[in-house]
Amino acid sequence: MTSEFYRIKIILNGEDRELAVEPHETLLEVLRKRLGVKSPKCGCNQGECGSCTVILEGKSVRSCLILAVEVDGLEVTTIEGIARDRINYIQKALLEKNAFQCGFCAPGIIMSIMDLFSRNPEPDMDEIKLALSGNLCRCTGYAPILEAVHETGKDNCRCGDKGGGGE
Amino acid sequence: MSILIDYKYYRPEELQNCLDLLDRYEKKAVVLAGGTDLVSGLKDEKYDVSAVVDIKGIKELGAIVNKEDRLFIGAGVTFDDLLRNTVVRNNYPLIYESSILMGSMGIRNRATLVGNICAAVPSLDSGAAVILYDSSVQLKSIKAERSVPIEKWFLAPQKTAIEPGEIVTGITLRSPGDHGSCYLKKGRYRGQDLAQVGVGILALKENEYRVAFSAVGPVPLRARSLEKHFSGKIIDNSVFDDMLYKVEEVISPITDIRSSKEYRYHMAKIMFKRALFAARARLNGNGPNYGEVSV
Repeated sequence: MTSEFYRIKIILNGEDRELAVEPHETLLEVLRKRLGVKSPKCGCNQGECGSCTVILEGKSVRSCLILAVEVDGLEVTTIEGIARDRINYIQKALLEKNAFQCGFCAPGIIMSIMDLFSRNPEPDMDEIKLALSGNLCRCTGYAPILEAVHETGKDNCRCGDKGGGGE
Repeated sequence: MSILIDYKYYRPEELQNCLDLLDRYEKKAVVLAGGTDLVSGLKDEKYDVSAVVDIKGIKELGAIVNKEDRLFIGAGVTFDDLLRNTVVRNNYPLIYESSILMGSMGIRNRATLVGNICAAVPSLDSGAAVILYDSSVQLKSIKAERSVPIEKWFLAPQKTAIEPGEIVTGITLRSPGDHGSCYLKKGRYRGQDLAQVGVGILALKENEYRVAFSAVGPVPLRARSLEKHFSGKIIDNSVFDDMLYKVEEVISPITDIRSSKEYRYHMAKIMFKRALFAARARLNGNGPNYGEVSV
């Protein structure tokens, strides 16, 4: 293919990054192959499984369904950006519940939880299920994941908004 | 699978530039809004294109404009934008209720309602709502501007009345005044799944009803014969059941990977009744909250 390149600038996990991308490259491909950010995973590659979920301008999105050229000038956050030198409070809650088995879906699920908490710091179980319904876990370990989110939500309300930073 | 098609990417900031591009490339251009259908289609080589025109830079297409009894929803408006909009929630609750059931949070954050009606799959979740609010699809090209009534918009699965060189700038809904409504979706599971059956009902004053179905025919349809049959009278539960065979006369479901046609016939009747009763109860102020009924 002899596509032309497009220069884009993004803020990736708080850092300015500038690179040339081809118009057919997805955000997921660019994150993983060009920028070394490996947490978003390629599962179904058609927006069904949620394992490629990242936060774009504050909202969770499927990075496999977004062209890298589309995000020029925008802010992209992955789990590498919310957990730099220590795990954040959502990860801690999931860890305490031993919520994940293989962990492939974990980064995507955590991104969806971040989005959910930004809208609703204390969601009930139905709201949690609705928010996570697009994130599949093939180890089928949903119950402890949902419990961890539910309990973290209750803590959110007790301790105020912890935002996206470390613990 | 990566995208193997070679195309140019454009991101115009003025509608006029977008129209110029669509004119120049004609059939070889596609419009990119949310991209949740389009990017997947590009990977599958569903399109033979030389240009992808991203419209997210065009401000006017991102607008929701409420004016008297009309609501304009621009082509860049996402399902998440609709769910956060109080006019939508209060005055067009059927849009609200069907938007909740569309895709998943990560899809709703990106996908647009106009993209949904342009993709025009038979199971589309916004189909019933746009039909029942008597919408018109607003189109523009470099030469002209036109408006297509929603019932003339859907021609066949994934086929609409759009012409090469045109862009859908938005869709205009018409408020029916005071109403209760209900959208019910049956999927194989609760979560991100396409509908096996979709039913939408508007309940207006004096027992007048509007009825639409999706996923049970090649295009979403307004069931006017059913409306005539059930409107204008108070129907009690037992008589209602005797009249449900009428539903079978208006729908034409097929068997596919998600459901058999027999199951679709069966569920369409049950869902029609539940949705109609829920919409009527909502009109009377004693129905379930929007977003809280399920099949």
